[in-house]
Amino acid sequence: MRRILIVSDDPFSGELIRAALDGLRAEVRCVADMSAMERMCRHAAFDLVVVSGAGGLMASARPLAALRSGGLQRPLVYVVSWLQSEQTVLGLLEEGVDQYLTFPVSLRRLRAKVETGLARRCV
Amino acid sequence: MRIAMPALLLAAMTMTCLLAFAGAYRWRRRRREALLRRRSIRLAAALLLPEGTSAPGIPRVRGAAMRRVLTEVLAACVATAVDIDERALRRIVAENGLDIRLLRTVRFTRGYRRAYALSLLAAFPLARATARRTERYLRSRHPQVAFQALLVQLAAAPGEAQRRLCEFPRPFTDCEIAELELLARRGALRLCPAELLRSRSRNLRRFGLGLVRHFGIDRAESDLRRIAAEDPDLGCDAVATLCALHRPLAGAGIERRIATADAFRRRSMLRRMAREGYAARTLYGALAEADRQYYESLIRSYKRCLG
Repeated sequence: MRRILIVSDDPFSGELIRAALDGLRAEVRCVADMSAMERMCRHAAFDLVVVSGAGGLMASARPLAALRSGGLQRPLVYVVSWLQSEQTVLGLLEEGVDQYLTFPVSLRRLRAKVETGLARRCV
Repeated sequence: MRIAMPALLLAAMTMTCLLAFAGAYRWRRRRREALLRRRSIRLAAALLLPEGTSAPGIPRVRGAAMRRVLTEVLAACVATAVDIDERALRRIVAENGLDIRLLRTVRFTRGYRRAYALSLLAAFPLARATARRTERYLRSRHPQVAFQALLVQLAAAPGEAQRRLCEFPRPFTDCEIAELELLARRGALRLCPAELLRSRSRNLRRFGLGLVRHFGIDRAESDLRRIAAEDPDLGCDAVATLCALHRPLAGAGIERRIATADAFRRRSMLRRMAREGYAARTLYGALAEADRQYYESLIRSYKRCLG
C-alpha cells in the first residue's frame, strides 16, 4: 500500500487535497506543519509528500533535508501553492521539489500527477 | 445574611448550569459544523472529479449555521480549484436556497458583513435576476461593498465585464486589481489585454497592466512602452510591468518617466529593478548621483554578478 503525506497549515486545503486523492490505492495522512512532517517521515517511509503552501518551505533553511537523508527511500515532493515569484519557484525546484502547481488548481490534474508519480515508483 | 447566603448559592448554581449548558451547546454545534465541513469538502471534491466516483447526493442542510458552513465551503472550493462542474454547483445552490439566504443577509446587514455576504454570492453561478437585486450596492459608499457588488455582476454576466469595469465609479486599489487577476486566472474573466491597454478608462488600463504582469505577456511590450512614455498616471506602473517581464528599459520615454517621477516612486522603481537583476548602468542617464549610489548599494545587497 502506497503512503501519501499531505502537509498543510490551512485545514481547508489539506482536506480538499485529501478528498481529491480519495479512492487511490494509498494511505493518506495529513499534518499541519513542517516539524510534524519531519517527525512523521522519521517513523514511516512515505512515497509522496504533497505540501500545500510554500510558506513552511521558504521559512526553513533546508526544508527537504529530512526527507532526503538516510536510506534509499526518497519520497516525491509536490508543492501546491498560490502564485510565487520566479525566484521562489526556482529555489524550491533546486531544493528538490519534484512538481510545483499553483492555486487555483485543477484537482483532476493533481490527482493524475499523483497517480503517475506513484506508478513510476512501482517500476 | 442567613437569607442572602442560600439565595447567592442558588444564583451561583443557576449561573453555572446556564454557562455549562451554553458551553455544551456551542461545543456540540462546533462539532456538527466541523463534520459538515468535512462532508462538504468531500462532496465538493467529488463534484470536481466525477469520473470513476459514485455520484454524490446533493446535500440538503437545515439551519442557518449549517447553511453558512456549506456556503463557505463551496465558495472556498470555487476560489481554490478550477474545472468545477457548474451544473452540480447550481443544483446545490438552488436546492438549499443558498443564493436567496445570501441576498437576505446582504439586505439586512451593513458594512463588512454585507461585503462578506456579497463575496460569497459572487462565488456562485448566478442568474441575472439575482445579480440585478444587488446592483444598487455598486453605488455604496463602503468601498468593499461596492467592489463585491461589482464581482457579483461579473459572476452573473461575464460578457459585460469590460463595460462594468469601465463604469466602476472610483479607481481600483492594488488589492482589487489582484482579485480581478485571480478571477482572470480561474477563467471567469476573458478579456483581451491589448484592448484593455488601449482603452481610455484608467481602471481598464490598470487592469490590463495587471494581466500583462500576472501572465507574463511579452507581446504587450510596445503598448507598455507607449503607456510609459505618454501616460503620466500609469507610466511608472508600465515601467514596473516591463521590469517584471525582464524587458530592456532603454528608450527616451522610459528615461523621461523615471526622471520626472517623484522620489518615492523613483526609489520604488529602483528597488524593483535591482530585484529583477538589471545592471548598474541601466537608466544611468535618467538618475541623479544620489539615486545612482542608492541603486548601486541595492545591487550590492542582492549579491548578484551583473557585469
